[in-house]
Amino acid sequence: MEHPLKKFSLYAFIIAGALFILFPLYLTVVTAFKTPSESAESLLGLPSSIQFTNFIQAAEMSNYFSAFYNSFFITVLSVIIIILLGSIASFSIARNQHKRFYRVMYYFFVSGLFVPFQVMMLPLVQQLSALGMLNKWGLIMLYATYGLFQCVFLYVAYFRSIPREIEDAALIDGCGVFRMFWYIIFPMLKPMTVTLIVLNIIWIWNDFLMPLVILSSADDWTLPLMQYVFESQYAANYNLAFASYLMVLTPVIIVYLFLQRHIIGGVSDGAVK
Amino acid sequence: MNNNAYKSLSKGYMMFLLPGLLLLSIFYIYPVLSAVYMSMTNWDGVSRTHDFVGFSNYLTAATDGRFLNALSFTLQYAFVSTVLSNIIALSVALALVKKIKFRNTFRAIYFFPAVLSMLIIGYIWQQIFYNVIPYIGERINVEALQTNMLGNQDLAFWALVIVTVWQASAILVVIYMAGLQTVPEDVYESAAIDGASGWKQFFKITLPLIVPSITICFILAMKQHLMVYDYIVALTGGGPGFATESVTLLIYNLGFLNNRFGYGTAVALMLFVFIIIVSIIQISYLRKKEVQL
Repeated sequence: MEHPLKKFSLYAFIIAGALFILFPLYLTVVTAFKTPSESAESLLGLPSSIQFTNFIQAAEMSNYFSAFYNSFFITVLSVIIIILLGSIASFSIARNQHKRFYRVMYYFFVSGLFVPFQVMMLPLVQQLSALGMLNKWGLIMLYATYGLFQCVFLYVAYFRSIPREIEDAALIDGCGVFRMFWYIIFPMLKPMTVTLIVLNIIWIWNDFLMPLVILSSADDWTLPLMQYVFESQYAANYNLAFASYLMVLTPVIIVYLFLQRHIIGGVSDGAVK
Repeated sequence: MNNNAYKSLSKGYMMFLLPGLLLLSIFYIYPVLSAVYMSMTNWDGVSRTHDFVGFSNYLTAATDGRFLNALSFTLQYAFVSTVLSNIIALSVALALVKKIKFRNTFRAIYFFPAVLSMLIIGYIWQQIFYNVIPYIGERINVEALQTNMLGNQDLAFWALVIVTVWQASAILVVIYMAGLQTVPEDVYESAAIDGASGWKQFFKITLPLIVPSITICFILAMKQHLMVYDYIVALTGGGPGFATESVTLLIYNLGFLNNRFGYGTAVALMLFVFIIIVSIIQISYLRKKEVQL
């Protein structure tokens, strides 16, 4: 049995850390619900009543719903493209490792993991401007491309655990390559697919720099970019600022509450592989 | 398999590779190659013409005080943040793998910052440094807390480190927990029988056995911190003065504010080289420390 003092200090350490993590979030929630005069009275206390005026005002000021829709649309479409193109590319790379061409292709895809976006940033803005793609479509293409680096890296590793015999049997039975992939291979990738969906949603939903340099029109702005643009307007009203932060974080918080086990599992699997 | 099926199979493989390859060629390889070329020009990003200047942008950087300042800030920030977040995350992970109550709840709390937007977290902490800490300082009458850390040249660095460690430790905790769970229980038991104390067990057994996790965590954290951008924008904007201008912010400013596209791209390529060098150093150092049971 452990010494009680040791056990006490263990819990004290974990709880202190958890409070440190939760403090900024607590502050965000209580401040978002308070009026300026309530905050002046007590910065850290609970609000005296639950009222949503801060949220309504912040949503109107910043065009929240349009930004939410853009973030949602861009994230979903990009993730679908990454998973579809990444899974088929990984399949053909993983099953042709005896061929030099495909080995080179593997390094070609994975090399992107080490290149900071900043290297491509300035030429890309010129390139997309020439193509007329400084908008959400251009941004989706960029996410789809840069998502493939990690996607191919993780899927190719995962393919090692999937036996080839099933594919061979299906092909001998006269099943076409595309049908074979979609009905037999893709379902077997499910655990890694979940991981990749989680990782890419977190990345794309929260990304700030790429929307900042790519999205030229206010109609395309995503949530982080919208927050950046309107941040100076909240300077005078502390409570309004926190209401707007909370509105940007809320979708993620809700998803996390329901799916935290899958999300933690997915992220740690992705990192350890 | 007959010849026909084999042919259609290898055609199928090629078809599967093509769409991805096409995207990579247009949005990855082409911009990288034009970056290499652009870094050898004096293009301002606007005018129609530019001159080829060879490596002079790189030579300029070697004596450019602003670049050297950004580089030294970024390296110090990345090093301090990486070491601190790893020490904290490993300590938390060691505590969380013990048999404690509400372990999954604690794990969920510790991981939570990893899913949040770095920009928004930066804004929330900016308010904490600006409003909340001085407020608490007044209440408890501690003079040191009453000023805004972000307005002070030296303290702004540490403010950024605090925010970074708050968020970056989250993912590391989970990776370290996964690593610690692979260390078999009986190794500790036999060590305890041999009379090894807690600290000795940690340094002689646990640490060598989780070197793969340490490698992943250091490389992951270091790369992320060398590319720090969102926090800088949200918390300091590079100030006060140029005290917290990171290399990434410098690249943005050179390209979009100062019309120095060629030079900005050269700086970006140097950042890339730094990331590669730092990663290789870490991998080769940690690989030597790796042991197997």
